Amino acid sequence: MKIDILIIYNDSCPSFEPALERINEVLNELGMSSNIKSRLISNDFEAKKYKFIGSPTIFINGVQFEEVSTEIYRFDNCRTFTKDGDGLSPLPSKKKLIEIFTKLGRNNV
Amino acid sequence: MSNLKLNDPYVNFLLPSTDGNDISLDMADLGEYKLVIFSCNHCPYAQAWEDRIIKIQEKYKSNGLSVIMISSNDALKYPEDSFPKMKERHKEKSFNFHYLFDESQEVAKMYGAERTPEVFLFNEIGLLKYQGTIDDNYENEAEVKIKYVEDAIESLISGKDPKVTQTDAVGCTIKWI
Repeated sequence: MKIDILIIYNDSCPSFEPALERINEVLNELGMSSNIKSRLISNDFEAKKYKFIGSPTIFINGVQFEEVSTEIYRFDNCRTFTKDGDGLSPLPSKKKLIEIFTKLGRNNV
Repeated sequence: MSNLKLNDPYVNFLLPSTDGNDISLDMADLGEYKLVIFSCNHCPYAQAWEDRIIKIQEKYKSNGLSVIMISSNDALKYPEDSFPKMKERHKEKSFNFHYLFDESQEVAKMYGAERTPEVFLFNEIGLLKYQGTIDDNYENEAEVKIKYVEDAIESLISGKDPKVTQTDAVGCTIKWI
């Protein structure tokens, strides 16, 4: 199956490229194909419009990865994710990405 | 790029600390080696390195190292970085160093700091000997290969200049007013 991924990012936070690399790594390991799009956010108006909560904000098949309920949208923010095990990280958890992609693949069988 | 260059003397300041005092780098009770770190509460990179900063202070306290962490972020746009929230973080994490609020952002501008975290290490006579990042792996402490700050501190303790004197700070941008 093909998974649609949208990564929204800013250019002030260094997380976009390593996050993209991690997503591609997981997809390759699972042998899944994807349609990855990215969108650069440059001001608070765009941040609000695209529900950007920090770089990177990731949508997988339209669902926000580690969804956060907030009305605060700041274009220069870095996104915080939960880490495998314990703690926080600027990058999405590889384990969680595997779980989500595997589930999507299974549901499509 | 930092406004301070290698071997420049530190720029002094007087800022309020989360422990209730006003702190200046000229205070006699600070150690001979001063590690000034621009950081903040909200940034995931700052959070990722927080426990390591505590360990560095603990490890080198007896060698005369004083960590002075400063938050210069715009607390109106980032209320997580307000002074009351900084006090809460200090308490939660039991910081073993001073955590200062640079509300006017003048100190960050004087130093030329751009990221959180970004470190400036000064030797026993107050000259800048290392500036940049803490180590080479923000995500996983167990996979760190190069401990830039610790290597630089070890060099100073043994009376030498650090081999690596500058690296790119990795983290969030300072949130300017």
